[in-house]
Amino acid sequence: MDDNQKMNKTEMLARANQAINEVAIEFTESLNERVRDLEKALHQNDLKKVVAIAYNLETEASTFGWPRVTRLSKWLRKIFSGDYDNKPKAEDVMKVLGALKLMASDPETPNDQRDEDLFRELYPMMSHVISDI
Amino acid sequence: MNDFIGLRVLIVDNNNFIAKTLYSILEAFGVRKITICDTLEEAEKKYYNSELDVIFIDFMMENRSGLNFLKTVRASNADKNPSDIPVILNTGVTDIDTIIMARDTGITEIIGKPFSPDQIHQKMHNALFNKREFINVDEYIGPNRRRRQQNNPEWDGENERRHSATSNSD
Repeated sequence: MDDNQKMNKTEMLARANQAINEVAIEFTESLNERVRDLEKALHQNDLKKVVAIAYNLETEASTFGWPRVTRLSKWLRKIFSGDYDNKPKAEDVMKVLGALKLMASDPETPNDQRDEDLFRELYPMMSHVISDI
Repeated sequence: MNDFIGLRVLIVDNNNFIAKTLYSILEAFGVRKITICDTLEEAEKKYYNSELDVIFIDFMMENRSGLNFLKTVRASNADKNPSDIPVILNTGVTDIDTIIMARDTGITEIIGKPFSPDQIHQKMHNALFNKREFINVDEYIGPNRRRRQQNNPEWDGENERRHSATSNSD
């Protein structure tokens, strides 16, 4: 019987969390560039691409310790994929994009307090679209 | 004892990052035979040509067509894999309509993205070791959609609702 066969659930989860930490480095390195791609797609009005990038960021970020990036991206994905009836205000979109850019600007040294303040400021507007944040 | 060690797992996801993360988690659980497919066509080939124990599929694959692959699996009589093979849906779209649609297409378990290793472990364990009865009728093919046990055989008290209904009709 080798080491893998002797593993219990606690050991499995510890190993998995360690594995995620390794992938998280790659995610963090790519975050800034992906937010820039999102901005570019928005400016080009390529909504299909906006939804695709936002969906990917939404579904990945929390796993790697970026829960606010997940929520901001979810808002963008929902308003541009037609899952929300009301047309978003351009200034709200720019505010969310601005927050994302700031959060992703220096991902190696995240500023948790700044990100939390940014998120709290946007929360009342975003909560109309996303009920589970 | 590691329950997952001998499993053969197929990951169907066109997001390389998610596929890689899931691969790393499964590998950390001790799973050694993991295949990643980034198109539904490739996944179907794999399904028909290799023996598998569990499949992870992304809902958003190819313009929200992930569930079409599930329909193929449930309706098939593949030599290599039974139609009741556990299929776990990964999805960032977790509104009630999507969940109901996935359930009615015959999904075994649903994992909301972003996910954690704990969720993957729990859902995979449920899908493989707490199997629900498999239903195959005209209208539905998939695991029993009722998760709660009905008509608990240990219950030996009066059936109050039925009793009161009978009384009212008198």
